[in-house]
Amino acid sequence: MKIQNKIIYVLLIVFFSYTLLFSGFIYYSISNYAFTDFYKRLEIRAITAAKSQLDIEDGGSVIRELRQEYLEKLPDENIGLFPLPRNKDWQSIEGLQNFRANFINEILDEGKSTYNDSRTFYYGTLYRTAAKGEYLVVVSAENYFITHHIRYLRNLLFTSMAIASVIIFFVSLFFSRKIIQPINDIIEKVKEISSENLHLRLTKPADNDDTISRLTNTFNDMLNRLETSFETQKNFISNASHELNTPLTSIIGEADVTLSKRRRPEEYVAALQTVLEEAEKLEKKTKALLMLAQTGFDGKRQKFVRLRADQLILDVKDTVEKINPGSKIKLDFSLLPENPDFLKIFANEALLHLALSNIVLNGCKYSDNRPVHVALGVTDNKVIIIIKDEGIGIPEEELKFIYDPYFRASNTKMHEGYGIGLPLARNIIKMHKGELFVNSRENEGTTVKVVLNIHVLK
Amino acid sequence: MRKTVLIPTDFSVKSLNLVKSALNSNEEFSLEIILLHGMDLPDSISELLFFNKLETIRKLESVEFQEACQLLQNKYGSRIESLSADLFMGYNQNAFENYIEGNRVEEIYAFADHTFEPCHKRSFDIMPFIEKASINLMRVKWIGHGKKHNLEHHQMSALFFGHFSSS
Repeated sequence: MKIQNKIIYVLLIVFFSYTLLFSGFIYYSISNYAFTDFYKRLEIRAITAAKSQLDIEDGGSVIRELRQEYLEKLPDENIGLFPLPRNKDWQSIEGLQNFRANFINEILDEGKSTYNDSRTFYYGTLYRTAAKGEYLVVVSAENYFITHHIRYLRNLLFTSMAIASVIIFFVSLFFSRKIIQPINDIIEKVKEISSENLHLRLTKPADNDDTISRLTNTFNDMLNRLETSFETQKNFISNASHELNTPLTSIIGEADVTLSKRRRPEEYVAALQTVLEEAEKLEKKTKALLMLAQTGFDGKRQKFVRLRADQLILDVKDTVEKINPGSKIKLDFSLLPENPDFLKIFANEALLHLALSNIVLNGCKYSDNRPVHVALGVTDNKVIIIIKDEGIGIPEEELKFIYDPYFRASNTKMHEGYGIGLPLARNIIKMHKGELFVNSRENEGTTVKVVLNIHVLK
Repeated sequence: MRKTVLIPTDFSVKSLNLVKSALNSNEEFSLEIILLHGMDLPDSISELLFFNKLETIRKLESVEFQEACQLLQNKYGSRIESLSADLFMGYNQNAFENYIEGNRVEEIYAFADHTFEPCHKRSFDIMPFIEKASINLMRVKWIGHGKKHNLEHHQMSALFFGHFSSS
């Protein structure tokens, strides 16, 4: 859950600080604007007051009228006009003590000044009359907006920030869970996979090319390769255990019988010759099986090379005849293409050899060594290998289970086997990006069609 | 030298074995092969309006049939000038003779033991026309291996595992 929490925290902090900045900025700008705006209004009043009262000339009354009509009275408004003595000593003037010292000094220095306490805003300026000298004009009033409205704005911003935080929290919770969910699913599924059920695959997600589906596909590919490796070993073990058993049994039997009583030298010679023949058969079989057990792995990576399909089939025929001497394989190369380049496939020789050998061996085994026909043909972009036997076939309802590891059809009671060969062959063919089709009629035979891509040199 | 050969077809891979026998009998020739299928024109106006021969043929050819054709072309290469399917839509023998003359067909190859199975509701058997045709008819007997090959992905094996025999 850590990454989920991390996502939530990050989202929360980012959004919260953003909202904070945002509201702070709004609050600051508005109050700033309110201040400046209010000071301007005080300024107008100060100047009009000064003009109307000090410059009592023609314009004075007009200004007074204007002032009365257009400038409303601010709450708690106070206008003070103080004549400034020539020496600029203002401490002695009545009423000016109420204001701050640096406020007055600033007016004298700069010409105007402003300040405010919690409620009241002050504006002061120096007014030069034509005749009567300098006057200090100080206007003060209550800024209603600041005292009431801005507090409301502040509270509003705080509540909305709080609500936003809550909403952001839930949204990020939901969002992070949704993102993490596919990965969690994959984790759950992969936990189920162990060396016993390497056959499981992750369900392919809907057809979108995003990273999660690519992860799923990569996992599935890896599982394919792993399963193939495991099954190659199991295949070898199962083949070895029952192929090698027969010659051993006959050797042991022969030796036992011969030793059971005294015999003539010729009989010993005959027995030893049988033992030698059987031992040689054993050696051939072991060699062939060991070759099949290579996983095509040369230490670093699986080696794919350019092969000729017809050569591969001839090799497979050889291997099968070594492992099962009674097999009858009939090759049909009648429709081989004129151009041998069309026969080239890009394959891992050991693995593909293993797959095809398994299929042909199955054909021989389940037809009790009746002829097995192997044909090869080439279309425009595919190499097609057809392996047809006249054996016991596969019942129709069980055709969909033949690729399950360890599955044996119900009519295989009289034949030995472990149900490993076909799943292994299919995995290998999948690794070569080919296709495998099996058709069968019970008691008539089975036809296996292997389709591989032609390897075209660019 | 070129020769044009007609082979009746029901778009099954099994019928393509006749191509093999035609090629085997004409070692010195390069063949232009017409696979002929009998089909009536549609009766309704709207279907007639939108009738497209190539489309119809394309729909009748299964993937395996096309693959088998490619297989044969790859095998025999230059000896097959062209291998294409066509529809015969005539009603009587004269129409068939006209078709043969128009396409300059010189030989017809057909199965000796033939059972007609329509693959389309308007298909009809052209064997009666072929048997009364004026040009050479070569009957071929193909002994297939095993029973019916109608399952998907199973048809290809009809091209192999069999042999011709004299009938």
